[in-house]
Amino acid sequence: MDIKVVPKGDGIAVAEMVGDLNLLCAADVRARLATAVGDGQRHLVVDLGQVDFIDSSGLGALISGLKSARQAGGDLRIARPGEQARVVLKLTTLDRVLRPYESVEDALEGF
Amino acid sequence: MTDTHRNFACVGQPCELAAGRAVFLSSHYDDVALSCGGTVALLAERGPEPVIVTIFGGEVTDEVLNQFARWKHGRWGLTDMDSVREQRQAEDTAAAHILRTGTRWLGIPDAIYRGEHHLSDDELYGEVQAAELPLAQLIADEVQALPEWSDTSTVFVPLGAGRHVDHQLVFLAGRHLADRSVQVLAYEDCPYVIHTPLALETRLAELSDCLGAPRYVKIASTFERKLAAIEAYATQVPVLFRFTSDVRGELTKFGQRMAPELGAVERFWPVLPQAPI
Repeated sequence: MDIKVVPKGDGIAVAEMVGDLNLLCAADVRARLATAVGDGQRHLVVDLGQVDFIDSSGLGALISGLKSARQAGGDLRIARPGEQARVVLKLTTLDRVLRPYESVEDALEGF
Repeated sequence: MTDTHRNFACVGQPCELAAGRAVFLSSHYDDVALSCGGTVALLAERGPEPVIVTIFGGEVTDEVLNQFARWKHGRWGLTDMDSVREQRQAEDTAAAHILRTGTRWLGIPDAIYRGEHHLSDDELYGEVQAAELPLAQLIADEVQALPEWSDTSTVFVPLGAGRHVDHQLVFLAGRHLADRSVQVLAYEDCPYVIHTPLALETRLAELSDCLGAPRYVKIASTFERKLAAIEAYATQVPVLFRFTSDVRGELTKFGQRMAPELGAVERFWPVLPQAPI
């Protein structure tokens, strides 16, 4: 899993992820998102457009990032999840917490 | 034959319970230690190191708390979900250290946090809802994707006695795995089977077409470690065993109920693949 955090100004950033978001990298993803928030990027959009596969541990890492962002007074949104990710989100009911946005631009709106 | 191998002798016929790595699926943090901690410890002595996978420990946020979940939290005295989760995981790690096993925590939320599926105890201890059945397949997929997984792994799942939907879903995951030619064994859900013996009989009758004959494991040599691992769940023991002041005595009596002359015993049922149509 490759993660690149791209600052957009005013505490907003897009976390571009590439690869599988699963149990093997979940701890690293948690840490990277927490670091981004700690560095002042408290409004995060996670771009899942290049993520091929997500498991429940991967979703857990995103929830952890969401909590970090909220504790800092911000938020975390997800954009462009694939069909497999949408299925796992719905099955775990975590889509109520991580509402998918169709594009990064849509997710950034209102931050 | 080594002492460890002797411990695995079935009552009646000698057998090996798990040839490769044992993967114990725990619906919630303490289920495996409570239900089959003695066998976990025996398998750890033999190697390779077993792994306990907690399925429904996923992190959630406050907005998933419906009225039923808030009522449950009130009963349990929970105020801060995050600190509780940290504490439960610390207890789980301590228990695993005692049993000498590894741990994995998947990210699926507990039933009470999964939307509007379970809004009462009747629903929490009722039929698995159709919308949730695919979760069993997801669990099976994630178990087979674990770094510890190999083609020789043996999987242990709860029987689902007591009918908690999370236990039933993990049992169904075991059925999916059995259909994929994995060796799967079901364990008695403790403390449900202690508090409600009828729950076991009822569940066994329900599952009569998909379970093989039970296998027994003598756990006298690891029983103390099992008790110590259970006691590591310090926040849970007083709740789970609120009906007794002698938890060790209760667990010892339960362990020896089948054949006191054998000492403590744990029991497992092979989960059979579904018959081809």
